[in-house]
Amino acid sequence: MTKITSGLTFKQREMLERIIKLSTDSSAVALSEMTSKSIFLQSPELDVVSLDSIINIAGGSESVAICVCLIFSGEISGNILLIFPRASALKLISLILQEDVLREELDEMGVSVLGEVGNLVSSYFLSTLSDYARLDLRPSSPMVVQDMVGAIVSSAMLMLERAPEEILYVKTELSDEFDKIDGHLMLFTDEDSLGILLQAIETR
Amino acid sequence: MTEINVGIGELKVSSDKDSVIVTRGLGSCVAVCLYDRIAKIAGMAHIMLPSDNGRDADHSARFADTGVPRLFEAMVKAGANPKFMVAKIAGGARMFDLPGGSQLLEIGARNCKAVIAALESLKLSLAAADTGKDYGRTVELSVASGELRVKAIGRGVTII
Repeated sequence: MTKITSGLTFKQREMLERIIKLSTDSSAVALSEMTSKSIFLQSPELDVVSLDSIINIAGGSESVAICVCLIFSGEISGNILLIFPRASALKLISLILQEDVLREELDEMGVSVLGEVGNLVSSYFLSTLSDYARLDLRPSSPMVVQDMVGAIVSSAMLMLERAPEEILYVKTELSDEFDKIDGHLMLFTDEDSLGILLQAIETR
Repeated sequence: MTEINVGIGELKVSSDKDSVIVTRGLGSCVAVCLYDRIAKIAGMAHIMLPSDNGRDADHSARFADTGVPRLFEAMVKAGANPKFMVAKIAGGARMFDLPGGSQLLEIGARNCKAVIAALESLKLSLAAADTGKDYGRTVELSVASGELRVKAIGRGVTII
């Protein structure tokens, strides 16, 4: 197993930042078209972290969050998770649906909207990543879950046949002219695939 | 009341009657609890996966096949008598669902099966279980009573 204990190399970080910029820009354009208003998407932070730290980053084991998860397979397999604190997710749904009143519950419409946003952001990220790494990655349809952060994140990771020790984490900020919504994008890859992926990006 | 926190893949044993052993945000993971009702010694392991496939190098409780025996040993070392030990388990949910399903989503059920098999091979009887379904759980084991409180969002508390 290739351990990335020393963190990302300069080149890996540079390439990943470029991939993320490209995919968030495309997602922002698509979301803006969908809502016919200006939606901005930024990713100010990027890191390789452990399961314990990612649960803390996302608000702690017991905090309630809503997530969108896609499984991907192909030359490497894993899954991608876009997770929002509950209040942020509800705010995001209102923002996309252009409603003035904040929702209090996650209903079917909300699930569908979040599924769409998660699908968009994750698919753009995965496809840009596979272009850069020259690896074929095919995503599943989105799954939307509301539960405790610990339960969501650990289960997403352990769903993999050989669970990884390290997770690629990208902080995301989604905003319109008025509001900013924080989210967390996480990439879980089968045991040694994160190393393969990073190497592929680096040697490109 | 003191809280003894069991992190992911960890195990803890206590005989302090003023404490509860807690693990938070269990999804497909399984909390295995052992309790000696006479000596009032309690232990909990946070199991992540069914089997370590022989790669076990550390002393964690990550895997059912090695973690459950380790919890048992830690209980005995703390003075618990296997004759008076009972087991309770919680967790092993199926957190994600895909149309058409996928083998990958069954990890919670596989964890439960592996935990039960490990308990059986130690001749420990399973007193209660709150497993499966599609939601996360937080569990608290009382050292004084052996009672296991299971909390889930929007579902209140179940005591097993």
